[in-house]
Amino acid sequence: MVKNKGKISVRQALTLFAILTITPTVRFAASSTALIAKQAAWLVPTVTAVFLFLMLYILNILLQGYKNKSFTEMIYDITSKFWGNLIIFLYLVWITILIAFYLRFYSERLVTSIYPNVKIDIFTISMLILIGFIIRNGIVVIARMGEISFILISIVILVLMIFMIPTIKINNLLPISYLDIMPTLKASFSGAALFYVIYLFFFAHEFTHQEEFFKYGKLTLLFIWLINTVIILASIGNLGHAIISRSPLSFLIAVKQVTLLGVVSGFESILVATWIISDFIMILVLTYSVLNIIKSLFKLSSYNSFINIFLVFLFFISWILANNVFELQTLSVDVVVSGNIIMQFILPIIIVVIALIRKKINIKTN
Amino acid sequence: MITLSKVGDEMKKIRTDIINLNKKVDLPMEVESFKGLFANSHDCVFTEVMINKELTVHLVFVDGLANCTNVMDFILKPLTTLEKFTNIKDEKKLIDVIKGGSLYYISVKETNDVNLAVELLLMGTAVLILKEAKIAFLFETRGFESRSIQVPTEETSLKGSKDAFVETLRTNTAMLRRKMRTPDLVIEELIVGKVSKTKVSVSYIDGIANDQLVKSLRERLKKIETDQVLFTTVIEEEIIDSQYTPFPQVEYTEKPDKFCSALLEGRIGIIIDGIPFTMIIPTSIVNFFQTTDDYSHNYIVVSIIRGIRYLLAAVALIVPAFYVAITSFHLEMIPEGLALSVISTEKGVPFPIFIECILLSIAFQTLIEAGARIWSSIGGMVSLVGALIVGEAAITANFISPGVVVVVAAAAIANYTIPNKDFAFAIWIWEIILILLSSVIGLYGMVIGIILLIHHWAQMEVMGEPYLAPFAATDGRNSKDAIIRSLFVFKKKESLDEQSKINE
Amino acid sequence: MLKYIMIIGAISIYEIYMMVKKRQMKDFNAFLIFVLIALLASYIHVHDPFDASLSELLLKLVKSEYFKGG
Repeated sequence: MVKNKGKISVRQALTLFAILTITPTVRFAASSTALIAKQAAWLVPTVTAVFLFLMLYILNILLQGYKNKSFTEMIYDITSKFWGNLIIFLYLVWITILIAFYLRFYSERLVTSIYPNVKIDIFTISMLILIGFIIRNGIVVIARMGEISFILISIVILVLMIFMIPTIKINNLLPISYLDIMPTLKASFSGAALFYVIYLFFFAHEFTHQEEFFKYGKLTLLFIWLINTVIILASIGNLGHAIISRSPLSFLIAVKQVTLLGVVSGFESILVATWIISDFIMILVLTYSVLNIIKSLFKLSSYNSFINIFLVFLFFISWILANNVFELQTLSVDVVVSGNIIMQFILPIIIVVIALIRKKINIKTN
Repeated sequence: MITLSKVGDEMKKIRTDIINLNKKVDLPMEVESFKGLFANSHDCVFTEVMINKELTVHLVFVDGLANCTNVMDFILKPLTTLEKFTNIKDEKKLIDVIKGGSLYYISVKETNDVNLAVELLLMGTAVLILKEAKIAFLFETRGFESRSIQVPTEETSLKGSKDAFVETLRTNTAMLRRKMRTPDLVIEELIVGKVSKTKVSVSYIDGIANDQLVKSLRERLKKIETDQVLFTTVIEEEIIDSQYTPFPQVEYTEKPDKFCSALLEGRIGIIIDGIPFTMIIPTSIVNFFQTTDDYSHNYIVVSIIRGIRYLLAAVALIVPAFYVAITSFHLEMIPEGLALSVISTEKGVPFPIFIECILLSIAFQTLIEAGARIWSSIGGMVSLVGALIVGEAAITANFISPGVVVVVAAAAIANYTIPNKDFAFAIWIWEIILILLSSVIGLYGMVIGIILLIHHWAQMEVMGEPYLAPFAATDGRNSKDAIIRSLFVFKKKESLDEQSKINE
Repeated sequence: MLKYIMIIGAISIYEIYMMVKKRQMKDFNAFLIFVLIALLASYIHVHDPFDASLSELLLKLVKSEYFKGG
C-alpha cells in the first residue's frame, strides 16, 4: 500500500518540472538561441545547464533546511511578515501572468498550426474546464499524470529525433570557434529562464523523500539538457540558424520536413498532440501552485472554492494579456524571460542569502 | 416436540433466521428439529439406527454431499454390529464409547448447537443425534462428485504447467501446497454469503505480503453483505476501490503456477469455493499485459513481445480516432497521395467517417460476442459469414469505405493481443470515446480524450496501490518487470527485498 | 458583459453554497475579493478602458523594440 497518502515523491515533482520545461523548449529554445548564438546554438544548453546546476544546489540547501515546508512558509520564516507577504504576492501575480501567457499561447498556437479559422475561445475554455475538473483530485493524481505524460512525450521526441537525423546537415551546425563563446553565454540567459522548479516549491510540503532532491535534480537537469540540445540540433541542423531564428514555431517547422523513407510524413500531428499534453500539464501544475499560494496568503481552510473563480479570472487575463500572437512572442522574449530570471534566480538567491545570514539554514544541512 | 404437521409459518420463520448468520435459532437437538427444517428437501436422509432393542439413535446426512459408503462402513456398520455398541444400554455409555474412539473416524465433533450441526450438515457432514442426551456427533463424511484437475481452457501455456484450478476449494488449496511447500503459505478461510455460505479462501505468503494489505482485504471480505457468492464479481465489486470504471482491477487466473507466482510477488490470492477462477490483488496496469508464458521463454524475446503488446494496445486505442481526426479535419497533415486515396475511397459512402468507424467497431464486437455464444459446431461460420461475406458486401454496396475497414480491423486485431480480455474490452470502450471526441474537434478532441484516460487511470487505486504502478507510483518499485522482463535470478531478489522493505 | 456577469454569479452562488455546506465561511471574504477581481477583469476584457493590452503596457514599461516598427 502506498505510504504517505496525499503526498508525492521528490522524483515525481521533478518529473513535473521536466515536463514544464518541454513546452517553452519546443516553442522557442531553437529560435531564441539561434538568433544570438547562430550555428553554435546547440552548445547553449550546456552553458545553461551549468547555471541550472548551481541553482539546483542553492535550492537544495533551502529545501533541506526546511523539510516538509512550502516555499511560502520558508519565505515567512526567513523574511518578516510584511516582506514575506510582498514576495509571495509578487510570485502570485507573476505565476498568474505566466499561466495566462501559456494558456493564450497554447490556444494561439493551435489556431496557427492546425486549426485556422476556428474560434480561439474553444481551446481556452475547454482547457480551463479540463483543468477545473482534474485539479480537484489533488497533487497525487497530477503527479501520476505527469509521469505518464513524461514517458509519452520523451518517446515521441526521441522517435522524431531518430527520423530527423538523416536530414541534419553538419554545415548548419559548424564551424564553432572562440568567437562563439560570448554569443553562447549571452544566449544561455534565455535558457536559464526554464528553471520552473521554484514554482513547484509552493507545494514542497507535499513532497516526500526530500533528501533525494539533489540526486533526482541532477538527473532531471540531464534530461532537460538532452532535450534542449536535441531540439536545437534537430531544428538548426535541418533548416539552418537563419531560418530557425525567424520562425515562431521553429521545431514544428523542422518536424514538418521529416519524411520516413520519403513516403510517410505528417509527423507534426504527433508533435502537436504531445505539445497539447505538455501544455496541459504545465498549466495544471502552475495553477495548482497558484492555488497553494492563494491558500497560504489568505490563510484559507481550502482552495477548492477558489478553483472555478480563479479559472474564470485566468480566462479574462489570457485575453487581456495580448491582442495578437506577435505581442505574445515579443512579451516572451522581452518580459517573460527577464521576469522568470528574477523570480527563478535572483529572488530565491536573495532569500537563501538572507536565510544564511540570519542562520535559518546552513550549507552543511545536506 | 415439533412434528411434521406443524411445519408451516413457524418453520419458515426459523428457516429465514437460520440463513442469517448473525441470528441463531433456538431449537432442541433432536431429529424433529432437522425434519422441520428440511421438511421438503428429499435429498436429506433421516435414518433411525437401532443399536439394540433399548437404544435408538438418528443419523442425518445430505445425499450427494456426504459419502454414503463412508457413512455405511464407518458409522452405521460399527454401531449396529460391533459388540461394544450392541451391549450398551443407555446413551450416556454410548457417548463415552464414541468419545473413547470406538467409532473411529478422522474428524468427530460433539455439539448441542443445532445451528452448527445444520451448517456442517450442508457441507457434507453426517449428524448422529442422541435424543435424550440432546447432543449430536458430527462426522466429516463429505464426498461429493467433483471435476478432476484438467488442462486450462482460457490460459494456454506452451512450456508452463498444464494443471488448472477446479470448482473444489480443497483441491485448489492442495494444488497450492504442492507447489509451495512452505509453512509461510497462509490459507485463511471465511464464509461469505448469507444463503450460499460459500467458503472463500485468502492466500498469501507470510513475510512477503504486506500485512496492512492482508488486514484490509480481510476486513473488506468480512463486511460483504450478500446472499450468495456464485459469481466472482460479487466479491470483486466489494473489494475494489474504483467502482465507476470499465477497467479490471482484479486479475483472474485458472493456473496455479501464475497464482503462486503472484503470491511470491507479495500479492494476495482469493479462491472461491465453486469457481475455478481465482483472483489476485492488488493489480496494476502492467499485470494485464503479462502472461505466465512470459516466464517460460527467453527474457529478451519476452521483453520485445511485451513492448509490442503495449504498442499494439496504443494502436487499438488511438488509430481509429486518429484516422477520423486526420481524414475529417486535418487532411493537410497527410501526404497528398494518401489524402487523395482516402477521399476516393470515401466517395459514394453515405455515412460520415466516424459513424463508419463506430458501426464497424461495434460489428467486430458483435462477431466476437456471436462467436462466444454460438454452438461450437457452427462457430467457424460466424467469422466466415460475418467477416468475409457481410464485410465484402458492405464495401461493394458502398456502405463502408475500405479505408475504414482496414483501420478498424487493424485496431481490432491489435486489441486481441492484449492478454487480459477485460482490459481489452475496456480499451475498446475508450476507443469509441476517442472516436467520438475526434469526430467533434479532430486531433485536439483525441488528445483531450487521451488526457481524460490518463487522468482516469491516475486516480484509480486497487487496495491502495496506484493502478499505473510502476510507471507512476511514489517509489516506482518493480518497474524492472513492467516491460523488460528481467532475469529470474534478479527478479527473485528484488521481490523479497522490496517486499520486506515495504513491511518495515 | 451580461453573460460574463451571469457566469461569475452562477459560480459564486455555487461556491458560496459549498462553503456553507462544508462550514468554510471563514474563506468568504477572500472569495469575495476574487469575485470582484474576476468581474473587474471581465469589464476590462469587454470594454478595454486602457485601450491597450497588458502586453503593450508591459512592453512599454521595458521600452521594448516592438513599438519601433520597421
